[in-house]
Amino acid sequence: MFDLKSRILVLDDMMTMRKIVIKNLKELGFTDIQEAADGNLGWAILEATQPPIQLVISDWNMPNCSGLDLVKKVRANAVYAKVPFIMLTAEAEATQVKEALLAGVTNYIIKPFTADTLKQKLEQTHKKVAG
Amino acid sequence: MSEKNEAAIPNFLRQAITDAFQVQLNIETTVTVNTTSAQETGQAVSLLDVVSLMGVKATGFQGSLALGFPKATFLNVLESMLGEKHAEISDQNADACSELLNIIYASARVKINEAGFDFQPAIPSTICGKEISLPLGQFNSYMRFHCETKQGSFLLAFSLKRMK
Repeated sequence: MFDLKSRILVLDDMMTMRKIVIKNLKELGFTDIQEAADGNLGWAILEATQPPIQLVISDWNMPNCSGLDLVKKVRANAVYAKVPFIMLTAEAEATQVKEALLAGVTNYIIKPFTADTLKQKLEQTHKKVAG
Repeated sequence: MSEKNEAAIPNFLRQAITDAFQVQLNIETTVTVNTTSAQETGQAVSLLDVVSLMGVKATGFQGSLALGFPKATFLNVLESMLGEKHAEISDQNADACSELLNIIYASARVKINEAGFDFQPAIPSTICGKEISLPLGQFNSYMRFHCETKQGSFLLAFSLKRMK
């Protein structure tokens, strides 16, 4: 599992969904969590944060810069290319999941989701990047 | 709607509603579906205090999907969703209605499209107020999904028009 001191960025244009994800992360023991409402704001946080963000959990459909656009930007940048990136979205069609994986997401969570699902996906993601 | 649509879409939407509330909120939901003409729907939809609405589109079809709550139900749902009490519906917390509609539509759309359609992603918008009426157009088919939970009742409305 990720170190509970890991610095996490949560992106969703819906405030209530950010609150749900952050609440679940806090219940798992994570404390260093930042949030933003779109990919542009998320990118600004990535660039401005030191020590760097260690995990991004992002919605797909957001204004200004979508989660898909953001993961492409992250993967194309040498500094952030290896940051684990979980897409947390209601978009559940196989073609969309494939598109996101091709763009470089590390893992994919489909809404609706439970706290247990989030925990399992975090464990999977950690194994993937560590192994 | 074609015969195939009539058979498939209500069940997929009903399943998506119960899944969204069960999985995301741990709320059991009983859904009753009524298919009525738009002219018959005025009364029961006028008790909503927050409504999210989206236009939906597929090849040959155009319609809308709306999710609405009376205030008391919505505040109870919010408490289940966020683990905190809210006294009023606000611009900030009303986006929970959009999020739920988004989850329901995306989840139903997978199944509906597997049945041969090509419904596209859509973005909901939300209005808050007192006794909101759902805007209705001239649709071939209009369905209301009356949903009952321990937190109160709410409504999902789906309308679809065949395009020429």
